[in-house]
Amino acid sequence: MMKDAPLELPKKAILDNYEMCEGLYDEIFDANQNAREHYKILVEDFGKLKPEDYTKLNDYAKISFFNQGITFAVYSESLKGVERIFPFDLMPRIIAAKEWEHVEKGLIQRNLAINHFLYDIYHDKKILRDKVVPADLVFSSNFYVREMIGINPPGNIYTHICGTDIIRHNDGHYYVLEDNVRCPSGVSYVLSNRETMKKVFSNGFLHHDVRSIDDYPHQLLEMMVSMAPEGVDDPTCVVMSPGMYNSAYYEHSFLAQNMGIQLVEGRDLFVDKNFVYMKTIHGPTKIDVIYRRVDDEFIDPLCFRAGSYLGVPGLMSAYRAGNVTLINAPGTGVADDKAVYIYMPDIIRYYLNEEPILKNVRTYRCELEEDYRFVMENMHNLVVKPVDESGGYGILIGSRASQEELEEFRTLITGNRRKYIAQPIMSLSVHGTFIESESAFEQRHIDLRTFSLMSKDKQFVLKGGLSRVALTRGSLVVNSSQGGGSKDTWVLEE
Amino acid sequence: MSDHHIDYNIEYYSKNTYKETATEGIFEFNVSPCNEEGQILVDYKIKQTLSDSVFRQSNLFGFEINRIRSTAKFEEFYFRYQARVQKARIPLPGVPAWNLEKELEELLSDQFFINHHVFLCPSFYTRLPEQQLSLVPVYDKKISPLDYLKTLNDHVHASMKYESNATSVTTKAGDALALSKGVCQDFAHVFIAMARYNGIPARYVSGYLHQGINYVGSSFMHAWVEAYVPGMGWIGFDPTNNILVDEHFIKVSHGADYADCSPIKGVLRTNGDSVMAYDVKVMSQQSQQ
Repeated sequence: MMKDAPLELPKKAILDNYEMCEGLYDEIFDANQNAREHYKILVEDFGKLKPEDYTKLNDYAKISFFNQGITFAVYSESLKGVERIFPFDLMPRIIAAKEWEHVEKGLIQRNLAINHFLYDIYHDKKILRDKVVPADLVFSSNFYVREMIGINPPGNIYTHICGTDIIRHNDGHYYVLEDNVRCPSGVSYVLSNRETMKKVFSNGFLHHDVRSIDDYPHQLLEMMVSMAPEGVDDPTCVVMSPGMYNSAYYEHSFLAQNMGIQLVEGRDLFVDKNFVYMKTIHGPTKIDVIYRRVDDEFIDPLCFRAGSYLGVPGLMSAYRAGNVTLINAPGTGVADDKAVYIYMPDIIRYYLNEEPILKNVRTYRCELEEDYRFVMENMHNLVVKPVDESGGYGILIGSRASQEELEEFRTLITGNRRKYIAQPIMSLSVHGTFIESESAFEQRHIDLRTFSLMSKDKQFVLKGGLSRVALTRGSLVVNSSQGGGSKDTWVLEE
Repeated sequence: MSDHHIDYNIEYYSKNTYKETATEGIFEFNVSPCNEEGQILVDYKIKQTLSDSVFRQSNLFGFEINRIRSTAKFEEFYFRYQARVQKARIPLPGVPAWNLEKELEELLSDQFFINHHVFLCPSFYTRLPEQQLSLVPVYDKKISPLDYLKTLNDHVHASMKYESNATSVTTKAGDALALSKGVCQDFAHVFIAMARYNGIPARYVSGYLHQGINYVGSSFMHAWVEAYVPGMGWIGFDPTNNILVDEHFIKVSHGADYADCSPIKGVLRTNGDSVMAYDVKVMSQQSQQ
């Protein structure tokens, strides 16, 4: 009915030719092409814009990003070391207050359960003894760190920072896609996106009650300070980066700067008698809390990978002695092993005695005979992922793959079944996104990387997060390393 | 020397020389005999030229590590560790403590796997490639694990030839097995890989071996194995010499494999090559008289 009378829909204005694909969940419009309640004002605001105006605003936004120097590096053979501006889309993604409340509760629940799980597997291992999670799955995880057995991190907190990825499926429900509990990145883009939006689209903020995200660096620092080793009242905190060749170096420097603390690399630190010191022109300064953006296996060449220059020799023994806090704790990666993900609903029930608030995607564990056979036969309808990668590397989307690629993955999986899981291809929700080459808005798939902080008695969830956009039409891959863009994410006040 | 115990004097010495001046260095020495049943570290002294002090601490498995850190630039340094150890004569394990049924019940339980996972799961040096698993003598569970382990000791000893230069410190069990050659470290890794594959916990042990009453002279550190027998605990096997561990073995530390027990580990900043000389002396009281 609506389709026959487009002229009666002035509210669509700049979105006039917005094409809606059937079977997809559009965040802005419902199935009858009416703007959803929490998008009505935004659609009206955008409706006052002509495409030329929009292009102009878009250019302002780009200049703002250039000037802030917000870039990331791409790891690939042909583009080694290329720095890129993270593509940004001016149309914000809006999440209604009620819906956010649900998401936030779900994230906190999940993160608490993960933290209990990590404490347990490095102590009594009750969940393994009770056979809720298979013991061999945990012990065979590449991220299981023996050095953490029996260690009590301050407040028994392991996952101080979680970067849970959630998506909305075409059934309208939110699903957790990945729990990123090692070194999740992206929060600097959230803060920079908001800065840019405020400059370029300030009217939007007059018409919407958007919840603030500005205090994230403050919350992060407060959490770090509260996690200081026992007996340290005025801790010295630092951000430790692998250095300027890391894809997230911009973020490391951004966070250090915004927290007002030092950005260091491994070579700036040393360990003496199990205490960590920073080399300064005034002599050594003792360091108490390290937000390390260096992966476990590189943090200490005496303990883990010998020959790594990114870490600090002796850091793990200083940590084990309780003289320095590492954020996140080593060994958290077991919980974001994609094969352990399968058991997350059971993990929540086991420790919290609650039903999971956020859904889990049905996941096939290739190590199990039945699942393996199913995956081999139905690969063209599945997404295959390595359990221990991040950033969208090494995944196969069955429906888009060639016969050769499918065959290649069959061989890969058969050669190392522990390493692969498969999931049905989820239909990520879509959001209107300005496509420059078309000078028009088109539907693009999006997800949401959330950021949660955990300290002893406090749970903090950043209101919104990073809405990532797959810029290629029809693509489901939103990772910035794979050519994705992002949007500002607005969580509305009640 | 008494009937009940033997006194040993042990010396570990290493000297590192660098072609280019090193600006910063940190080293850990895992060479100190441990205290355990039947073995007492009576006293020890350390002389070294790198650091103004030696920092002692326990590693992951509770063994003492000596750590030294450079306080100035250096071109060489040495580390000398001397200890006196008293070792009791203990009877060799004869018959299993439990009957087979009870042994197997424990060995096959899920709790047992969880409790001993560090010494049951394959580790970096002891993971055997799929195609070599057929070379592992299968434990048929008709005899005690103790008896199986004795036959495994025979088997590893018989199927590997001792050869100094065939392998290196980075050689894994699978590579040594393919060569059928190696040194004590390789014999130990192969034994461990095979025991674990059969569900018997096994750990790598490094230490000193007294090679004979009148034996004096340069030697190396030795490596052997401890495997877990339900009801008896950890029993020592030396597949290199095809014997059970007795009072001539002076234990320093154990771990999942060599990586947990290497006598020296270090990280340093220098541009050039380095040369390391190292020497071990084990003397029983009698041999010094």
